[in-house]
Amino acid sequence: MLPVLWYITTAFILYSVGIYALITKRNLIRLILGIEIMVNGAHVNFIAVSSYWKGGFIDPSVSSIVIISIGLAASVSAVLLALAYQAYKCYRTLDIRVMRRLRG
Amino acid sequence: MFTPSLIIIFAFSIVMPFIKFIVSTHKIHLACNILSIIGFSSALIIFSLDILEKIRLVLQNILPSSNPYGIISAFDSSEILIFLVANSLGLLTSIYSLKYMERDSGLPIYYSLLFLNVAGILGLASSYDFFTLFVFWELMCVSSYMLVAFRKSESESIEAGIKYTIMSSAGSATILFGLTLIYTVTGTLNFQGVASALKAISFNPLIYVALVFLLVGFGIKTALFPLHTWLPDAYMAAPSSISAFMSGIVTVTGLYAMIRSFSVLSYAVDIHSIWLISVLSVLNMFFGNIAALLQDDLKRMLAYSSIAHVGYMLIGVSVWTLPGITASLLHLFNHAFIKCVSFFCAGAFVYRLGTRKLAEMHGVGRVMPLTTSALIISLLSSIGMPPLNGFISKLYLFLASMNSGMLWLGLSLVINSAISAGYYLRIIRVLMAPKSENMEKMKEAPIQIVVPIYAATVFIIFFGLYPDPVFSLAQSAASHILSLGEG
Repeated sequence: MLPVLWYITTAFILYSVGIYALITKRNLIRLILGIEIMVNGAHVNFIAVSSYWKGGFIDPSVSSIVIISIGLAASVSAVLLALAYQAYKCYRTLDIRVMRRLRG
Repeated sequence: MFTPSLIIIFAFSIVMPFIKFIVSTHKIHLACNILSIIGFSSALIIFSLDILEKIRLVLQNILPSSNPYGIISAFDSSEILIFLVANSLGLLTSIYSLKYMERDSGLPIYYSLLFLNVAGILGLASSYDFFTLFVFWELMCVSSYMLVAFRKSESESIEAGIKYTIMSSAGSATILFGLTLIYTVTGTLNFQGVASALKAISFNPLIYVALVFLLVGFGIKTALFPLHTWLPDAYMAAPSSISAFMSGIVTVTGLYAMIRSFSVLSYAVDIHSIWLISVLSVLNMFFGNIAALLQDDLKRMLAYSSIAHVGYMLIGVSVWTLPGITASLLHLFNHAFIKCVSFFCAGAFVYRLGTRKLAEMHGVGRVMPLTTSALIISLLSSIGMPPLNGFISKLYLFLASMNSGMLWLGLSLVINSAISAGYYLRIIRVLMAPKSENMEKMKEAPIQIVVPIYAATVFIIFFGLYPDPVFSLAQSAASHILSLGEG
């Protein structure tokens, strides 16, 4: 069995991939995917660590936590996809560089 | 195990979208509005009946005992504060929306989302488990994304909504990652379990990483300085009722959740010695106030001032003492009503004049005297004028920073109050200027808009003159939060 630090590193790499996508990508759909990857990095970490706390036994509360959390991430993606659809109707593109009317 | 008032809020949010099958189309807004007023008032009444005894104990400084349930608790004093703010702002917002949102469609969904948002805040305030806190956090976030982008045909609000949703859901993912790190160190997510596990271990760098993740994640929602960029756009593009609600409670709930989770982590980490929080606090104040000086849009100016107020509240978090947290929660309470009145008045101007530009508002005080005087009261309170409630909480923030040897925080609070007077007084000067010619046929805002404005203004004046009840409530909430991890 691999040491738990490997799993934490993998999860952190997944999280960083998500952050990288958010910073560099310009397409709205890719940003949504980036957020999903970030959330999934956290899920991988949760599941991996849960099997290390007691030998031969996986903490069942963590599995339920991750299932609920997948549902939450799905609802966030649903909202984002609805917004992307409305943005496409307004701007006729999904490029976020076009959406610069407000100044931040 | 939900508390009865939370069940009421959830029930109304579920019932609301089905109204359109019962009521005819042209009466649907009135029906939804009345139903939401009934919902918020009944939740408030049932809550008050529940906690009457508790409030009496709190006012006599007898602290309530710890909760028996673990996941969702019975009432505690920190919940009372947030509940009163969230529910009364929800009530005021729904009264205000009767006239303000009359030109919009899809209003059953609007009220349903408002109820869900309040439910998220209440659940978050009463959580005793990191994951419960996260679930209710997401409930609050998702409903506020939809509320910001509610006017879906306007490109402005869609753009602000996308910006807000992307940033804030990245923040939620960051919080979740922080929670996994806490789980990695302690093996549980229950507050008491985490606290006792942290007492047992000696030192683990992962807990510092987790703290930074939580700071960033909650900080995005709270609009800490480099992560604030969504806030002015979202507040400007959202309907004014929603700007008032969000500025009043949704943003500062991030701060509340931050305090709540830091108090559990403080068994392993000395929060007082983390200079990052105090630096962020000073940056927030200076950035918010200086950026607000440069705006020419009333709602944007108020939004930047809200960033500055988050900086004031962070003073209490960075000193991390009982007086500090008390002052932060007191300012949270007072700021909610101040910003509620300010945004309601800005919305009333938008409703009558159809513009947010300050330059087109010359002399509006002469045609809309009631709204303008409420706005002036709230702005003076925001500066920190003595008989109003903003002064009380700023005074306590200053005292807290002075007593714990961080006088520079208090001094920057004073300097920033002076800077903020620059733009607040500019708003007042514009409003009181001689009438321009396009003001001739304007008249006062309708009564449905004036009533909630004045209901909140009464709070500003009353708690400025008599701050004792809310101060002891904030004090008992702070001492409860600081002892969250203990059995």
